[in-house]
Amino acid sequence: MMRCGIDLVLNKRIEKNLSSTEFLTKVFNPSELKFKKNKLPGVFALKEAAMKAIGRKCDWKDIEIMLKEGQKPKIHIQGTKFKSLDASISHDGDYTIGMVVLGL
Amino acid sequence: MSKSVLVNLIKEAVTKYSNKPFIIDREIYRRKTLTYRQIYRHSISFCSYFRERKIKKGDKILIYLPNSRDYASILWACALSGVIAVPIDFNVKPEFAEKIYHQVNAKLIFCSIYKNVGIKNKFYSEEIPAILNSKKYSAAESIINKKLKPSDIFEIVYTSGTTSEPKGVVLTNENLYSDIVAMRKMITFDLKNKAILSLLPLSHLFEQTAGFFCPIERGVSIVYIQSRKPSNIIQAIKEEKIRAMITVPLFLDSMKEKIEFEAERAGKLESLRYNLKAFSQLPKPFKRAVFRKITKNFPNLQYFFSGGAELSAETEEFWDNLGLTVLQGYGLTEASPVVSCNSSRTRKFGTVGKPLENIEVKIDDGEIIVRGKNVFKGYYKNQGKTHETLKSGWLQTGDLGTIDEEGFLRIIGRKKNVIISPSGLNIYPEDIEKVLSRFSELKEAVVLGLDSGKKIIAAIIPSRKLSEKEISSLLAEINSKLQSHQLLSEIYIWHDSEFPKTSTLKIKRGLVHEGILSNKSLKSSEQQSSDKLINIISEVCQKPAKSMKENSGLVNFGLDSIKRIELSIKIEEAFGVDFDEDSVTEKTTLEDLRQIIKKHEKSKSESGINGFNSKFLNWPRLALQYLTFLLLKPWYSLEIKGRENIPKENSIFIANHASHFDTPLLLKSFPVKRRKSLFIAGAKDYFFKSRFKGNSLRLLFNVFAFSRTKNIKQSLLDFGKIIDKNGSILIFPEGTRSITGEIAEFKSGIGLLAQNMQVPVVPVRIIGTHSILPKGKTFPKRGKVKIVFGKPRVFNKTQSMHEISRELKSEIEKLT
Repeated sequence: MMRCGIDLVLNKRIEKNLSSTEFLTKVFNPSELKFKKNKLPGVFALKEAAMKAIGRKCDWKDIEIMLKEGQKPKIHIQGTKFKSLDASISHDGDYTIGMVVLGL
Repeated sequence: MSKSVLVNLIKEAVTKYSNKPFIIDREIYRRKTLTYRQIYRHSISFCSYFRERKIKKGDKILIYLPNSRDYASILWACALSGVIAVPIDFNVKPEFAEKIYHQVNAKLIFCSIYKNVGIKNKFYSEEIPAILNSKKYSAAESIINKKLKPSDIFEIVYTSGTTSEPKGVVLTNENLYSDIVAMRKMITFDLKNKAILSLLPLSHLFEQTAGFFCPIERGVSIVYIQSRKPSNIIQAIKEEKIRAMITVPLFLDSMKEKIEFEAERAGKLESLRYNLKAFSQLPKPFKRAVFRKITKNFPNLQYFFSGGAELSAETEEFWDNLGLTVLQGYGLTEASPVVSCNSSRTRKFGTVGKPLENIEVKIDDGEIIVRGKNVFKGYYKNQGKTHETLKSGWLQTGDLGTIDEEGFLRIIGRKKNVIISPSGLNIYPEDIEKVLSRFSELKEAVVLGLDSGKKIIAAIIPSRKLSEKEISSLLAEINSKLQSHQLLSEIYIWHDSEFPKTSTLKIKRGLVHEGILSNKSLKSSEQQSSDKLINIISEVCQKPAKSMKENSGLVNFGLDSIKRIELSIKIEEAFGVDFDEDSVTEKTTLEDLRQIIKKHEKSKSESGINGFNSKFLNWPRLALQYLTFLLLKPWYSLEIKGRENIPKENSIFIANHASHFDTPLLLKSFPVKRRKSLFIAGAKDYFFKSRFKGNSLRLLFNVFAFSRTKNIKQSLLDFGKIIDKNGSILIFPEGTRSITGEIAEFKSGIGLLAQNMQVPVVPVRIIGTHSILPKGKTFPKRGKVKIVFGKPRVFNKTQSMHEISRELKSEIEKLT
């Protein structure tokens, strides 16, 4: 079975929260905070999209996003079983969109 | 006599207390204790890191961290190397740190990865173990700068100040040294080898002098806590046997209020107040005994040092009547900072004590002026302000005070705050505020002069919603208690949960004044509700509070995922609970939310460790294990390799898993001494379904239950507790036995564990058990087993969890 999840983010709503230590602690893994800050809306969108694909809420930090320049993002989800996963991010202007497809 | 440089203080302490615990760092999952010698070693590593980065004496580095063992080591490293420390309050916004960084032309900033600092030369505190564990930075003691002079600058401290523009106070070694030496003479009570709890940030000089550099002479242990929740503070005071605390008055006020609130709830407030007065003449130990119901929460705590703001006489008396001594002092950053202090021997209520040794204090036209070696040399690149503040060696404090015939200093107020009435009378807002503080209707109040003193007003935050009528009768009542020249002409309601404050919780009067003039911060009272939760939701969702009914669903307020995170952060702050945002769903109503918060206030999750894991069962456990080894003997021959890789310290051992034979044989390959302290992580949903099975496994193999999916936080707390108590952990990161015998993918939870425990992880390979008893088989057949211990690894907190688990898997695969 395939499931997909998608999430659209208005970048400035994430940017607004970047100076909040509590927000960063709740949502991002330390490894994700090492990315350039303009990547974080995308990381957020992917996490939300992944939850939609799984079909339930989980801890934001149970989903780990790995980004490499010129490559598709990789996602690891703690405590969830699935056969395959594919993800993609796209930006335009003030918005970022993230999409995750799971093969169960 | 030795030179007045901080290096000497540090060296003395390290020689004298070498292996005594110095910093006790209570992190969320771990409690780490570092001795004087260890912190010294760490600071030498930092010195050598500075050298490698070409950061020399006189260069500046920013420390933008919460109090921690690393903060302590970095401060010492600055004292040892002559690199100038610029501490920045961790609670200020990253933009402020960036501004100061450029202002002082710093070479490096130590900051947390959770602070979004836009500076290239930064070092994340989460990666500091990389400095401390690297051989590259294990320099010899000779790296210490021997040419440091008393006049060398030690640090530049930015005063948060009640005014807006921050000023950098330049302090030399001698400034701090002289204040520390004078201050420690005032600690006349027994503090040797005792513990103190630190609550103020090290970026605040009162904490640095009185709470950090001063206590090292007595071999004191300093306890840092990462969570400031009241329940955490109380727990730390109890568990660490805290003897003294450095605090600000607001903390003492709020603790007092809490005690009174509890008493009121039990209907005993009147009798408490009566008894406190009635027994006030008893000696301290008796008072503590009389009020043991209250004092049992802090059994060893006896002294508070209070500074930073004025302590109300009521609060001082309250604590004294409970049998705890509050020693009030006075100081300012420009004086390194302590100027005067009460001691347990010479003490007078309502005063800030006598001036410290070698510090001259005079009253000049009402203003307190100070001279001594502790007085700073000037503000950083601000000659104008320096000239204003330092007049022929005398520091103009800007505070008004008197000295009585016995030599005790009393503070009247800030010179800047004084309101001069049109008739030329001096009106001290602090005096009026003291009167206001006795009204229970008022949570906080600030008195200000408007129209150049023609109008005196109070901005207040009421403790409950007040009607127009109540406000006017309150005003009348207040005025009836004031002198004729102090009368208030108006009361302004400040619509926020508190006034804007500095990091040391002083109210920023300037901002309140501006707010009142612009009328911006004063939302009309209809828009605001008296309910804390409704105000939070209304703020996060940008919807008027009026529209919120108890049964309205939160979705209707436009609560999406980002807002939900913001909401949970605000709730955690306001209610002091751990709030799980997942508990808010599409259907949650306002009423439900209240219930959830209430439940969180009480909830305690269950630990996976129980009495059957007790170390009192160690010997029976070992005996049972021998029996097991004997029983299994016919089926295996065992070869062990790499036992020398087992580290001396507590560690996490991870092994591949293919058979029920793994656990007993692995245990057998540990030296008995290590086996006694080894705990095995077992999946709650598999091994602990029945209590009998669970407890037998606990008894036999010291297995403890951990959840594979839910409540990871509790599992991490359990892991932390085991390691703190000198235990090691064995875990099978594949999560289950492999069916084929091939090593399966590791769960990334092992990465999370390695990141958060910060202990060595030892990979262990088990070869051969799969052919003895694979998954699904009931009867074993004889075979050869080889167990190989690999080299221990330490991981960085900033490494990806998935990468850690992948690396560990490949390490195990390499072992043969």
